[in-house]
Amino acid sequence: MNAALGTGGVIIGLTGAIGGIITVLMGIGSKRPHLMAMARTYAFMILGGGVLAFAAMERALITRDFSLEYVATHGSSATPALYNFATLWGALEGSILLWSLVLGLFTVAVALKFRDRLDDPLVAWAMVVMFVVCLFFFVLMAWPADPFKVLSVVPSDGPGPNPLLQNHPLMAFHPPMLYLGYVGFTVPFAFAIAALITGRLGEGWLVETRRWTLFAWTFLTIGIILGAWWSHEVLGWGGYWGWDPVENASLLPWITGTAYIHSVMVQERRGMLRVWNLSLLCATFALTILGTFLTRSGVLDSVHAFSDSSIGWLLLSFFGVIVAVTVVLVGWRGDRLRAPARIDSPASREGAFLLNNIVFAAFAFVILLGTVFPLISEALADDRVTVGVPYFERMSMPIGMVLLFLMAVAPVLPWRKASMETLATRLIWPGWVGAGALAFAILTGARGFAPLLAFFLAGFAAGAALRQLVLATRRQGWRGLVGRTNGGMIVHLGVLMIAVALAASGAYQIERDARMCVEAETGCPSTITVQGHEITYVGSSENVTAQKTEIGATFLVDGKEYTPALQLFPNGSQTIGKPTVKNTLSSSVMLSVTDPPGDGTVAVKVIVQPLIVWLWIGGAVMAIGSLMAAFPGRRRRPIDPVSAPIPAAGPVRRPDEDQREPVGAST
Amino acid sequence: MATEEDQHAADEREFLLGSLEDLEREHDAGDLTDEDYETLRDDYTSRAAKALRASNEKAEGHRGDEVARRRNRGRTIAVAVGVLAFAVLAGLLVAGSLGARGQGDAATGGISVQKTPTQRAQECQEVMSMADPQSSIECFADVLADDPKNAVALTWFAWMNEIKFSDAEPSQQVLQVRLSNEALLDAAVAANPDYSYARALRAVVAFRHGDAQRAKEYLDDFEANDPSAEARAVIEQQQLAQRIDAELAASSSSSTTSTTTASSPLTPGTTTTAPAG
Repeated sequence: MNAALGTGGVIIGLTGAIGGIITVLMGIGSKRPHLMAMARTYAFMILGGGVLAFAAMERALITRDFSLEYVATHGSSATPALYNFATLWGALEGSILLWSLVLGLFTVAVALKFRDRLDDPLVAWAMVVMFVVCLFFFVLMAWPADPFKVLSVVPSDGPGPNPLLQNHPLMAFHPPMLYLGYVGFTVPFAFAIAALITGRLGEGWLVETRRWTLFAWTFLTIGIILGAWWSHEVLGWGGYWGWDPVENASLLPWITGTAYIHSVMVQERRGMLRVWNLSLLCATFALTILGTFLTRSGVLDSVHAFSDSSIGWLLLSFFGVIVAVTVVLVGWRGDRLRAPARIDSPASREGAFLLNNIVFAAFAFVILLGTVFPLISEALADDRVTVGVPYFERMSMPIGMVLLFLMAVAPVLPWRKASMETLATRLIWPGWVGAGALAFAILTGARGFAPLLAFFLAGFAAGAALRQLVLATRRQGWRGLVGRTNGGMIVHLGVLMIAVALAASGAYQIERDARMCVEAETGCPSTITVQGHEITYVGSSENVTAQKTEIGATFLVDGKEYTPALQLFPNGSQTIGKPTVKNTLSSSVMLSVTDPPGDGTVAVKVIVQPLIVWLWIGGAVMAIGSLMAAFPGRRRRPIDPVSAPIPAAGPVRRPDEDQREPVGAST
Repeated sequence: MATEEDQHAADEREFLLGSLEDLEREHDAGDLTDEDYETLRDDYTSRAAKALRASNEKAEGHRGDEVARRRNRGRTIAVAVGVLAFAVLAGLLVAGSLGARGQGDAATGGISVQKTPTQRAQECQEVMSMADPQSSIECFADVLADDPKNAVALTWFAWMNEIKFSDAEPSQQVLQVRLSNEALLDAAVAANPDYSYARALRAVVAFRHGDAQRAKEYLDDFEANDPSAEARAVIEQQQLAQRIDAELAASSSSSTTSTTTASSPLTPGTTTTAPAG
């Protein structure tokens, strides 16, 4: 039943994608608007197929239908409801299914948003591109990553998901957030390709896709932050980012997406960087596919494992097609992509954005090189190597510092050219804020060149962002907090919180391993003090459930009880740590049990990290800022500048607005 | 129907004119400084005028003179050199950060899921070798430095030390090491009474040290404490019980006590394949 429903859903989605491509292409070719307008029907068909397949898989997981290979391999009757639901995206086939569902949602959203313009060739081509991407993912589900394979011999139970995926609720939310980000970039990519195909390469299509890009970027940001938080809370190593290939795969499109969000303003305002922006958008989408290839093909285990994976070849081929199509189209349209103006001075807003983009591009190159180098090395020389953390840290630290500097300077720069007087006037308050931050850091005991420089630059940049917000709110009240510029400044503040937390937690982390006893004895204290935090071992406990056996050790941290534990899952060959973290705004104390407690003793690792909670607060501020940048208010036309006066009675409409107009016109 | 070029020009014109309107609103609302406003307005106006002019010229059948943009060769070279230098720097740093990738290692980065001392000790067992006992001894010593009561590390640290000195000429130092190994195995049993290997190797070591009586006591203790199948397999493979019985029988019929160290069949090589923990 579940297999039949799910396979039916896949077939419906596949049919919708193929039908959509053929029908809309016929409409474009024969210039028949009603055929192009049918894109909406096909989009709903794809979404319907995705929903049906998703529902069938969830039903199979919830009803423990072990006749499905996916459920038998990754499900278990002992898995709690939340993790059981999340098992759908815990492995390859299910994650492709989730991707297809989200893609279906975006396709319908685009079809609805542009429902009055589906016969515009630009929108029609964008729909074709979206259908092609949908087709690719439904083909994956129909063939090499079929989630609805049925077993001939049905087991009575399954092993359940990977233990690491079922011991923290964040795992239920982190992947969907990432997928909303990854898949969301399909929309601006589709419009970019459509603009290249139709030759309508003005700035109009950028305006239309601005919010879609911001939406995707916001979810990718949230997904990455949640992933770091999960890593910190679950793995018990005191870190949050380890430059693991899977992490890098999510960071790469985020970097190019961030570069695009900045550089697109230069194109909108001055008509420059057209090739660059198109390339960034296409690169961002291509990198989401490359990331999927890296994480889903088996290539990370070994390039030889990759050759056994049929999905790997398909993903790599799709990546190649995206790159080739982009290069060919950009080359073909080269004459129309020429900028009408040039950057007059590096000391200008556009100059700063250009530099910001160069730095982001360098950052992406650094990470891409480090991530794919082991694969290339193994493929060419059969040499299994690993690129260590020092490479990534040495390269990213100076890049981060330059970006902090640019975050301070760029917002105060005028367009075209800045005089020294202007710069001096506008940078004086940010400079004072930076100096104050530096002085405060030194007074509170911070030492070391790199962290102190980071604190100064963060203060400097925070001063620039606050200056903009203060000026805007003085003029417009609360509306000074919304809109692209002001929302962007709030995002900057979130980034700065994260930068300070990264610098402080990295530079001033204190770590201590200890064996502690309930009754103190020689070499085995019952209470230790780490960085001013008093930690007392109280005793151990064991909790056995169908899902897992949990051996906890209870501690008092500054008088409050915490119980880190070791967990053993029925399908796990190793014990999985479950650390606890005591968070305050100034520092966090992490406790992880490093060996099962027994006979009144326990081995524990204590990690004290300053300001780490600001990583998560900064992430939340970034998300809020993004929303404020994207949604200026209901009563405005979407592309109105946010601070345009609100009309007294209804929106002001230009006389020609009653006429339907093509995308890329004045809207 | 409009041609592609016409459509492009129309989009461009409409966008620029619309942007000028947006600019006015932004300036009126105070989003833009006067300076930015002037700059952008001039830019948009000139671009819009150019677009309109091009459109009119096309309508009149003219073709506007296209001024070929000169490339700045110096700048191009400087950019190329900069990109190349950065790529070389990145390449050098990659080369400097390379390491061998073992089974299960990540291709990049260093997320280290917290390993318990027992897990680390089990990893040390994988490098146990008769030819090079020292590597595993150092590995176990690291674990014991963090967790002195770790039964797995105590057990195998003692055993590999036993191997290391198995062919050594009797001396005061060797005697000290052997006594120390016995003490470490006692400590392992005390630290984790359920760790069967500690009891098994305690019996083996006692027998190797020529104390068959104590070896028998330890072996009985091993049997009485529900040993794991893996530990029992090691004992059975070595025929320890039979050898102890033979030794005790021989010693009871002879006043001469023979040591079995040199001819012991309890070859240390078997431990390298012993299952973990």
